[in-house]
Amino acid sequence: MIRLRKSPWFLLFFFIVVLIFRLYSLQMDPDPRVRSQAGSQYWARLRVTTPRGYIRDRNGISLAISTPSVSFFIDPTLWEPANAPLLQDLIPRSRFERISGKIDGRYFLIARKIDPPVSDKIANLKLPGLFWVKETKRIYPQGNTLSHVLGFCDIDDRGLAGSELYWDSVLYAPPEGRIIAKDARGNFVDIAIPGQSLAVDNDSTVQLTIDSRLQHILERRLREGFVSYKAEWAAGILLEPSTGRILGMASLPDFDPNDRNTFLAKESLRNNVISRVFEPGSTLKPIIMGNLIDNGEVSKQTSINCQGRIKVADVTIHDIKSHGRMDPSSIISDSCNVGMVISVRNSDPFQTYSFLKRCGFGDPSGIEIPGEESGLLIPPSQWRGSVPATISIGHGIGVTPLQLAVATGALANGGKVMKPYIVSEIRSRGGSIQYRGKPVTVSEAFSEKTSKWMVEAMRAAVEKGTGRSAEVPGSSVAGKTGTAQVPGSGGYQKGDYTPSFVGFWPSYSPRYLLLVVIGNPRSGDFLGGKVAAPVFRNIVLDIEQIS
Amino acid sequence: MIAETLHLPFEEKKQIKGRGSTCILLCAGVASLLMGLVALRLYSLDLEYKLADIQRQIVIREEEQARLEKDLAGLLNPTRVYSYARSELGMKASANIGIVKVSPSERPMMAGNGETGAETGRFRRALVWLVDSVTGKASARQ
Repeated sequence: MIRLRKSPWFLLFFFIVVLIFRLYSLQMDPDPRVRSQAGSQYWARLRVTTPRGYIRDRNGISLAISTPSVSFFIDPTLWEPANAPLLQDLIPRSRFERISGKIDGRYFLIARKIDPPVSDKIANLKLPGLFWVKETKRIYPQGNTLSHVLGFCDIDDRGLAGSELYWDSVLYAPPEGRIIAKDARGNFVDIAIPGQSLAVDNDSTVQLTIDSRLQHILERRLREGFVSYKAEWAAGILLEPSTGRILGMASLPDFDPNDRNTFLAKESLRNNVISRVFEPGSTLKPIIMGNLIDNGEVSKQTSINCQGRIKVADVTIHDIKSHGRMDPSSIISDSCNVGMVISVRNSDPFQTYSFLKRCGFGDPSGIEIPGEESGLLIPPSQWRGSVPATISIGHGIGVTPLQLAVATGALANGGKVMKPYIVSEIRSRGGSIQYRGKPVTVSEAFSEKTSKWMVEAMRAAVEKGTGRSAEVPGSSVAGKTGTAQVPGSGGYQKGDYTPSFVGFWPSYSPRYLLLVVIGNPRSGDFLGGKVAAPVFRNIVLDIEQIS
Repeated sequence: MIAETLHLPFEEKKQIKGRGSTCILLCAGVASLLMGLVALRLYSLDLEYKLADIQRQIVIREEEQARLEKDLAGLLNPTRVYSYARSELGMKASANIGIVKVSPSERPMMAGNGETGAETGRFRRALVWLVDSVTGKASARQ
């Protein structure tokens, strides 16, 4: 018998077989304890922050973007307090004082969302016990510009106001968990795993209808008026009357979303265009008159005698002077209160109420930013005594500047009340279009014939009436002044006024509509024609130079 | 007792030798296969390192792009452009601006479209007169 077992080749063969078997069992079917230990050493699950989406203007210029930043923390068990002076000028003082002493625990945050080059300086110190994690930080490159529309975010990039809040579901992407491998030195190796995307980005975009250039003009000129007339607040809105698309929206006082200290100023966070309710005064007259003409209660040939004052119920309504015989056009151009009161004396309150609702008063417009007020329009059952008369001259009704602009836009565009919109397009992550703003006709407020006639009357108001200060040669501006008293408890506050001017141009085919409201000017002047109209004119001049 | 050494016939010796060589070759083949698998595994690890390195570079470039986009948005800020024009370039907004709108039918034709010099001169004089009458300033004439 062959003594194979004693053959050295057999022994070698046997050894190799055992080796192969052992290798196979170790590789393919390791002990569960080994598997668990290797997993914890080899794999790690990291939380990776995702940048927030973009907000851009109609020309694609970024108004809100997320940029890389770094957050630093220490492990107190590894940290040397003696190293703290190296960070003294680079981190907040309160944090510096803490890390100069003993700290309990295994984690202590020392600085959140630091921009380069400061973050690079800290990282390059390579201090033991100091660690960092990359995050993103929300930046608004244009500072105060359009601050109320853009809004701002919290430290964790969640929207808190404005478009950031309204469209948070589109812009915000939650942190992702990524499975990362570690090598023998503990360095992370990003491994492509089926189903896990390599790129961590967010290209979701909210594109506004705002034009940055027009917005800058609107804000600059409004701020000039706000400062020179020492106003408490101001609002300006620029839109296309034919579509309802908003091209500019300004509110003062404002804030810088990059600097939270500016949030503390009184009323700075309030968007006066959609959140401020005020009595419009004489700017409401063309709208009321349009309704009277459509109803046949007043015609172009109607003649009314203004004697400077008129008593209605228990109230006496005054004019600046006695205008004498007036037709509806001159009632508008000279802003005659008595003429309006006489014109509406036979009006049906329910019909007037219904008309004002059709114009958009008393309800929010549905614009795509939060914080919109409905205004104040009391039910017709409560229109007793002097209420119908006072409403005809723009008192006893509360409106927002946006509502007033939209209703005046109906006069400019042939009678249609257009839904205002400020977002032109929303693209979600991946590029698919989620929402598209488009012109929507809400209602028909005026006939085309009436709106044309009212445009002529408003053109006359600027050519030869109370709105002369708004005239821009060559631009054919049509508009109306307003000087409303400010209501308080028990009546109107003496010495408080809200001058305003609403206009559109060119009157024969309106391309722009602009409303300027200056709240409580303290400089001495308070008439709409003297305060708001010049601001309006300056804005029109600037816009015409770049259009 | 002296152990007897078995002397096999030549053919049997040859047979056993053949079988042994086959086993060794087989083992060597399997071992080579396994080593090949190991080599592939090391190669895939190397590729993963390279992939991770590329991924890091992508992240760096994306961060740089975000910073550049932020800088660009800041540079395009109309407020910045306006204040730069005023403070650095010394430009001023004119206090006396007139706007003249010319209808499309009255616009001068561009050179090469067949308009004569006389027609151009007449239109130009009319336009200058119009500007003068609106602004009242001889300085409008060039």
